[in-house]
Amino acid sequence: MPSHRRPGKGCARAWFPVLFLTLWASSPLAAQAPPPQPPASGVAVTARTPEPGSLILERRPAITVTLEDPQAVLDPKSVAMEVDSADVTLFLKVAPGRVTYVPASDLTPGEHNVKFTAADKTGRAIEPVEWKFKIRRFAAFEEASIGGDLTASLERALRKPIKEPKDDSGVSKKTETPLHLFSGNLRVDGLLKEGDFTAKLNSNVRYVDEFRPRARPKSDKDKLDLANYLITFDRKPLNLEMGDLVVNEGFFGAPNLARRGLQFQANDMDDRGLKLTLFGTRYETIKGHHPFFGVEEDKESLLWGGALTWAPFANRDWLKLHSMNVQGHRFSTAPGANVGTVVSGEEGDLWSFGTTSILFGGRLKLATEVAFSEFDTDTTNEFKEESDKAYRGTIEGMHDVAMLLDSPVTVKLGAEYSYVGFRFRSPANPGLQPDREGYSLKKDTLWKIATLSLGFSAFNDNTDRLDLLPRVRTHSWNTALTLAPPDLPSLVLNYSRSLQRSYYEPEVFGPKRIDNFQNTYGFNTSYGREAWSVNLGGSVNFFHDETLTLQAGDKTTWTATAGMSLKPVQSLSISPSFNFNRIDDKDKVVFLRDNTQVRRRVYGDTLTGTLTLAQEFIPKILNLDIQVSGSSTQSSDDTVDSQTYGGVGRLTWNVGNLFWDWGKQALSLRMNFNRVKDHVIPQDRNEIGIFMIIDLLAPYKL
Amino acid sequence: MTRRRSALLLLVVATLAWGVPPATARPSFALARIELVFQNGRGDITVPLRYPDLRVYATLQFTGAGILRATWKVDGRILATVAEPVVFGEILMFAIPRTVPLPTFEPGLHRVALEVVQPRPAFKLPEITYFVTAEDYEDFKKRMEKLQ
Repeated sequence: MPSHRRPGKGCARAWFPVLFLTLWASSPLAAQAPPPQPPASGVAVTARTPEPGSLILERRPAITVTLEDPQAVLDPKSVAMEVDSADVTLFLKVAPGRVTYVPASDLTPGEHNVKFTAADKTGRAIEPVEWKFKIRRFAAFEEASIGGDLTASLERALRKPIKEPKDDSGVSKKTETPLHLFSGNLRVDGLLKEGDFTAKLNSNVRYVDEFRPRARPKSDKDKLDLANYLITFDRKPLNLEMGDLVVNEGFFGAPNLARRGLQFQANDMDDRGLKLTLFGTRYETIKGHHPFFGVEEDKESLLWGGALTWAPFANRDWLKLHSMNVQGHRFSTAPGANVGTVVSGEEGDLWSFGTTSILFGGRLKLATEVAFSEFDTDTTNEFKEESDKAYRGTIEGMHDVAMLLDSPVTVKLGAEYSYVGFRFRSPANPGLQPDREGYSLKKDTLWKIATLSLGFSAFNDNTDRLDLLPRVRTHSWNTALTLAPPDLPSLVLNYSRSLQRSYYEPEVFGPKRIDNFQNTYGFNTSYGREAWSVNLGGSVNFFHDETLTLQAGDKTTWTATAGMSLKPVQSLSISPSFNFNRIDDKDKVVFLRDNTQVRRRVYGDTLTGTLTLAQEFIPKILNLDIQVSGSSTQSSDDTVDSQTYGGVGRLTWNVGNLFWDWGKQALSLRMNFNRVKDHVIPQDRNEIGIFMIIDLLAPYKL
Repeated sequence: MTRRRSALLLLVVATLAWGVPPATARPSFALARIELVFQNGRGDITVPLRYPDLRVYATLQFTGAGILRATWKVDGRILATVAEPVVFGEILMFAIPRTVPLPTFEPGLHRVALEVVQPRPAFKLPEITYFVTAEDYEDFKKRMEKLQ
């Protein structure tokens, strides 16, 4: 017979003892007396099932509490049990020495919490117990799930913009606006967990199908695209990643290198002070459905390497010794999916050795690195790999120098010396600038709401001191003051000066060719309240070229930006922004109508404005989004005078699951327009397109 | 930079060989390399609908000195213009201004480009893509909080 607890019974009289205890507790007598202790019960809980912290497969486990005395009888009215905060007391089986609950339906996989309270026959409460257990989803894994969502968008042109060039223009029609467009993205997130082992999958698979009836030649792009994926296997201290990963080893070697490939790490830094990294990736960034590196077509483009870090002291931050090797090749001329440059096939390798130290609780940081590379910048010619070196040392310190208005004044100092040889290249750091040697100094003074930064650097090129090449030295000074007072506008003021001069020129070159200096002044201020924010900025740069006569080469560049965000009502937000640039060329070569050449002062102005608007007519159901922009470019010598306008407006009706019982659907009407007006080469092109769109969002969980 | 050096070296060798001084050896202002990335370090990202913090960053290398003029474009529409003085040997890094948000109110694939007007590039400029899913940013945030 299940025991029934009647929580309502006696509640009406319960306020008497509560009132008495409250009054008594507030009396002076209570301050002297020890707090009342309920009389301890002689009954104790000795066992619980499922055991605390256990992992079980059974979806309807018998949840039992076993008492120390098998003959102990509990007061049926006092027995209570909660499973995941749900009161299940009504379903308890109370027997001498044991209380049992069997769930009537399956418990969900995952963690569950049980609370049990009771009193013995004499009314003395027994020690309450609370414990957790976990139900695994599958026999093999503690946790296993796969889920994500599908976004699908079907677009059809109701009125197509006239974007494609004319038949006889000879221009490719690849840019024709599609009549129909289907784009879909399948997000897949997976998890497997068993004890210390975890495997994760995060990926996005795309399908984009554009129908351009007149486009010639037809697009050869793959419609299906594995946009990104990352599979991670983790069992400390081992970790294996496959997919779009980031390698971060060394400054010269592979700092923040985002590539598709494999990376294995054995990170036992805490116990043994060792960390090993091995990686193999594509040489350049790629797009498309290339799921793994190393398959037949990928052999032309490979990057692989390894790094070992050793921290010999108990405090691992004191000293870390780092060594790495990376090598790779790319035999094609593809620079990478997000890179534009001219490259030949290249191959090379690099060794790097370095140290890092963090001392005095992070107040002093030291780092050194020396690297050696062998690199062939063009695998198609007869020249082979050339070797060179690079090294650097940095020191950063931080110290509180004074107290001002109860806040410390902190000074941060930093210095760096670096040398990167003329022929030095890193296969895993394509953005590194070779042929550069110099040092930089930096000082930041921080106080509560203010930061004053001062910096100086001096660099020169021609690190090999080649007589056939000039040597250019650059000196830069910069200073910035940042003020961020609470509830007041923030302000940044900055000034920088840079000076460049070639202090050695080969005789065959004649007079020196690089001698300039520039001064830049800038400011930025921003302020925000709940319903609005505003941002203003501006800068002016004076560039003086000393190598040419008169003011030839001198330029002044003005930039002004303004941005605002307004939310006058909850359902409406408006964000206008403006950007103005003026390039003042003091002495530009200008061609007159009769083709004569003269030198004149020429202004080139560009004004750009953008307006973004979002209006919710019916919250979460009917939205209007608009983004329009316009840009006008003019020059005082009448060589440029054009205006470009563009915009998109979209009215979206979120219809829930009106069309079919799967996910959420939305119907949209979108209008695009653009207009290009050129007064120099007279043309005025105006295009408007109207599209009907159905969007679907369908979450799933397997 | 390397190419400039190589070209310069060849020029010097040619000059010495032919005995003709060059008209000018002053390096002309040219774009040598451009790389565009989102905040994930890649040229592709997937974001939820109305995601407010999508940023795009450009890293450019040049030869010579001059003023860079460029335009940020999304799906062919102008969003912002850039005018930045560049000195010899400088690597220029900048992001699209915070005052101009990349539009994320339309589900689907979008293309971002930095159209360099001056100096005129001698190679194809990259175009990077972002996909906006139909999951609303507020729902996305809740899902992420639940996962954590």
